[in-house]
Amino acid sequence: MPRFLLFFVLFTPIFAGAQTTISGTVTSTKKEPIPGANIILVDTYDGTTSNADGTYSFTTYESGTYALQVSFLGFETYTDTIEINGGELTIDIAIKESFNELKAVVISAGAFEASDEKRGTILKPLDIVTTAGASGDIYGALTTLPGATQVGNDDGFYVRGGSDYETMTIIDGIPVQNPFFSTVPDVPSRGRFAPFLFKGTVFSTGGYSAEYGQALSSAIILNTADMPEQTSSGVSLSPIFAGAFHTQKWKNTALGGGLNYTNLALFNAIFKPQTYENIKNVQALSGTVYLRQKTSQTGIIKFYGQFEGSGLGVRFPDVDSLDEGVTDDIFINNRYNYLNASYRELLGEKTTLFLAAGWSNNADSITFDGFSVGRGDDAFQVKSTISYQASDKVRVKGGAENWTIDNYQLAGSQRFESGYNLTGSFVEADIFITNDLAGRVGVRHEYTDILQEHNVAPRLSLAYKIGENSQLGAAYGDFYQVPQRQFLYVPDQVTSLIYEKATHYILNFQTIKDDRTFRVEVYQKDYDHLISFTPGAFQGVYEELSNDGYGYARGVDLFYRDRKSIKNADFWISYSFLDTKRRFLDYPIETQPTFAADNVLSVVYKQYVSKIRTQFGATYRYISGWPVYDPWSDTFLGETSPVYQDLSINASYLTRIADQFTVVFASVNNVLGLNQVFGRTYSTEDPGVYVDQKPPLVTSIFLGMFINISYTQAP
Amino acid sequence: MKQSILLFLLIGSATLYAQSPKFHDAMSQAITELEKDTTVEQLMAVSNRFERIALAEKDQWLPYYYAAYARSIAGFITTDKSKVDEVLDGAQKFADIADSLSPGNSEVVLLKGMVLAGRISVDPMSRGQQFGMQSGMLMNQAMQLNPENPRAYLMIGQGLFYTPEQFGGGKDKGCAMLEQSRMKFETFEPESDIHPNWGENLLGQMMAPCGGGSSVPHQE
Repeated sequence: MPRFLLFFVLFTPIFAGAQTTISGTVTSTKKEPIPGANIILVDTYDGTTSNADGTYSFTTYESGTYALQVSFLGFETYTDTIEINGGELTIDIAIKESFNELKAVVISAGAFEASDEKRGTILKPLDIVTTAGASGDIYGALTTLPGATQVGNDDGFYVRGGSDYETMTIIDGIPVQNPFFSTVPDVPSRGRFAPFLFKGTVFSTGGYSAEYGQALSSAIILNTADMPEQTSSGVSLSPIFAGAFHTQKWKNTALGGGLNYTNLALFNAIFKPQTYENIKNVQALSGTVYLRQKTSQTGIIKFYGQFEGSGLGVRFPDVDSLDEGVTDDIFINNRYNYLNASYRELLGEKTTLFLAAGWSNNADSITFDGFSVGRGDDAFQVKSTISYQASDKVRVKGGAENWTIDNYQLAGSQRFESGYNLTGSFVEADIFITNDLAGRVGVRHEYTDILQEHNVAPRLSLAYKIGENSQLGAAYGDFYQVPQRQFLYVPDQVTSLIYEKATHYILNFQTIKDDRTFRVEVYQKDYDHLISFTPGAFQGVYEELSNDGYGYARGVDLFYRDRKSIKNADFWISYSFLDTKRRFLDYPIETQPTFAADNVLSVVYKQYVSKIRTQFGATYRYISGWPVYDPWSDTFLGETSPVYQDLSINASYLTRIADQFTVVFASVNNVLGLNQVFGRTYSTEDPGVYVDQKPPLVTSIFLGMFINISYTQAP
Repeated sequence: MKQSILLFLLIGSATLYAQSPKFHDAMSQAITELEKDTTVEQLMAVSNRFERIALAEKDQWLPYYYAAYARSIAGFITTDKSKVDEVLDGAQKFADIADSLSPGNSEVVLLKGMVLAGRISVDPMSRGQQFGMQSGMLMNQAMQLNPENPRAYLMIGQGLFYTPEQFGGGKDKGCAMLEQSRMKFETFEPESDIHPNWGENLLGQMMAPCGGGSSVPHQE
C-alpha cells in the first residue's frame, strides 16, 4: 500500500504539470471562418467550440498521441493525429462542406413544387382549400399561380399559351383521363379529385422531367398521402352537398371509404343563371374506397378508387333564332370509374422500386334537342420506375410505361371507335456537380401503334446557386403528344398523322428567404406539327386533316409570396405576360388563339384573426381579355373580349361541435357584381347578332361546414 | 493468490472509481453551465461540450441526452425559422443515439417529442397537424413509460395550453395537466444529480396565468 501512495505522490504532479495549449482557426475550404465548430480531443473530455471569428484555444493535461477531430453540421468531419507533449500547439484547420441535398441548389425551372417533403414549398392542400375564388378546387387554386388560367366556362386548364388538351394530370405516376367533371358548353365544371387526397402537388409550367410525356405544355403531378396518423371520420354539409368518410387505422393497414351526394336544386331555386335555364338540376353521387398497407418498414401499397354518376340538363337561347325565342335543350349524364394502385419499396439502401397501375372508364350520354350523342373512353395504364442513388451526388432514374386507351363516339345510332397502345420509357440522371451547380439530364422514348411512329425527346435542366437564398435555372426539352382523340376516328386519315410537338426554353431566377419567395421566369415555346384541317360538312368531319399547324408562345411569369411581413397573413401576387400566335385546327392564319390573354394578374390574400378563430381570404383577378370569333368579320379573331375582373372573398371559422373539430365556411364569388364577359357567340345566320359568354351567375354564395371526428382520447 | 485477487479488485474498483468521478464532474460542470446558458450560441457550445463527453463515453446515454436537450432548447429560441431545422437535425441525431443506448427511457422519448414539437414553428400551418400529433404521441408514451416523470406532464400541459380549444386543447385542460406536473415534481427524485431534473422553473412560468388557490406554483 505505501508503495501505491508513493506512486501517486511521485507521478501525479508531473502529469498535472504537462499542460498543452492547442489553438488555431477553423475555416471552410473557401477560407470563411466557421463559428460553433466542435473541436474534440478524441477519447478525452477536452476540446472547445470555435468563436465567432473561427478561432479556438483549449488546454489539456493529456500527453501522447491523440486524434484531433473537428465536427460541424453541414461539413465533413475532420480528423488528424497529433502529438501532445506540453507547450503550445497551433493547428489551423480547414473543413470541407459536405454535400447536403436540402441546402443544395434545387432544380426549379418550370416547376412549382408544393409538398412538405421539400422545404421552401409553394402551395399545399390547406392553401388550396383556403384560397378565395378557387371553390376548394385544385385547378382553381393553381390558376392563382403565374402561367395558368381557366378560360371562361370551359372545363380545361390552360398553361402558357397552350390549349387545354396540352395539360396532363398525373396521380401517383398514372396519367388521369377526364380529370374534370363532365359538363356541357357554358356550364362550369371542376376537378374530380379532392385536394386533401394529396400530400403534394408539383405544378410544372414547362420543361419537366423525362419521366412524363404526352403533354405539350404542362404536367400537374399529384402524389397521394401515405399512411394516415389515426382513425378518423368526417362529415361535410352544405345546402347543395352532403358527404361522409371514415378511415380505420390499424398498425400497418388503413382502410377507408366515403360517399358524397350533390344536388343543386335548392341552389338553383334561389340563384337563376343569367345565360341559361336549368331544366334538370345538377345531381351527382360518388363513392370512394381507400387502402394503405405497409408491407415493411419502407414499403407501402396504396389503392384508391372513385366511382361517380352525375347528370344535368340546361336550356340555352339559340343564337341563330334569338328573336323567335328558340331554345336548345341539352342533357348530359356521366358515369366515371377510376382505380389506381401503386407499390413503393426500397431495395437495399440505394434503390427505390415503384410500380403502379391505373384503370379508368368514362361515359358521357348527351342529348341535344332530342338527338343523342355520346363519347367515352376506357384506359388501362401501367408504369414502373427504378431509381438508384449512385453516390450522394448522382441519382439515376429509369422506367417504362404502357397505356391502352380505347375511345368511342356515338352520333345517333352510329358508333365510331378508335383505340391505341402507347409505350414510353425514360432514363434520367440528377447530377450535383457541386453544392451550387446541379443538372438533370434525361431522354424519353415513345412509340404508339396508331401513328406507327417513334419519338425521342431530350430534356435538360440546370440550376446554379448564386447566393445563400438565390439561384438561377434553365431548362430545355422536346415534348410530343398524340393528336386529340376526335382526330383519330377515320383510319385513312390517321395513318398520315404524326405527333404534335413543342420545344421549351426556360430561364428562371428565384430567391427564397424567411417565408418570402420571389421568382421570375421567361420562356419560349415553339410548336410544330399541330393538327390542322378544313371544316367538313358536319361537325366532327375534318377535311384535309394534317400536321401542318405551327405556332409559338413566349412570355414572362412573375411570382411573389410573403408569409412574413404581415402577422398571421399570407399573400401572393402572380403576373403573366403572354405573346402567342398559332395556326392550328381550322385557323386560316397564324394568330392569337381564343384561349390566350396578354396580361393576367392574380392577388391572393389570407388573414387569420386568432381572436375570433377565423381565417378571411380575398382573391382578385385581372385578365386583359381573349380573342373573339366573329364569322362576319374580315379579320379572323380580330376582336378582343372586354377586360375581365373578379373579386372573391371567403371566411372559415374554426370551432367545436359535440367536442369535434369543425370548420364553418362561407364564400362569395364576384362580390362586387362586376359584369364578367368571356367572349361572344355570334350568330352564323344573322350578321352582328351575338350573345355574351358569361358565368352562369353574377354573384354566387356558398355556405358549408366540415366536422372532423377524432377517436384519440386526450391524455 | 488471495493477494492478487485483492489487488485485482482494488485496481479494478480504483479505475472504475477514478473514471466515474471524472465523468461525473465533467457532466455536472457542463450541466451547471447549461443551466446558465441563455443564447443560441451558448447552448450550441454546451451541446458541443456534452458531445465531447459522449464521444469519450460511448455507452453513456446522459451526455447524448444533454447534447440533444441543449440543441432542442436552442431550436426553440432560434428566431430565424430557416435555421431551426438545421439545429434540430443535430438534436434529433443525438436523441436517437440516446434512445438506442437506453431504450424505453421516458426522458429520452419525451425529448424526441420535444424536438418534433420544435419543428412545428418552421411552418405551423402545414406541419402543425402531423408533427403535433406525432410529438403528442411521443410525449404520451413518455408519460406511460414513467407515470412519475413530471416533465412529461409539463410538456403535454404546455402543448395543451397553447393548442386552441377547437383543436382539443385550451387553457383549462393545459392548466389541469400542469397541476399534475406540479404534484409529480413534489415527489420526484432524480436517479443521481446528473440525471434530468429540469422543468420546475418553466412550470412556475407556465402556471402563472393559471391562477386558482391550490395550483399556485412555487415562487422562484
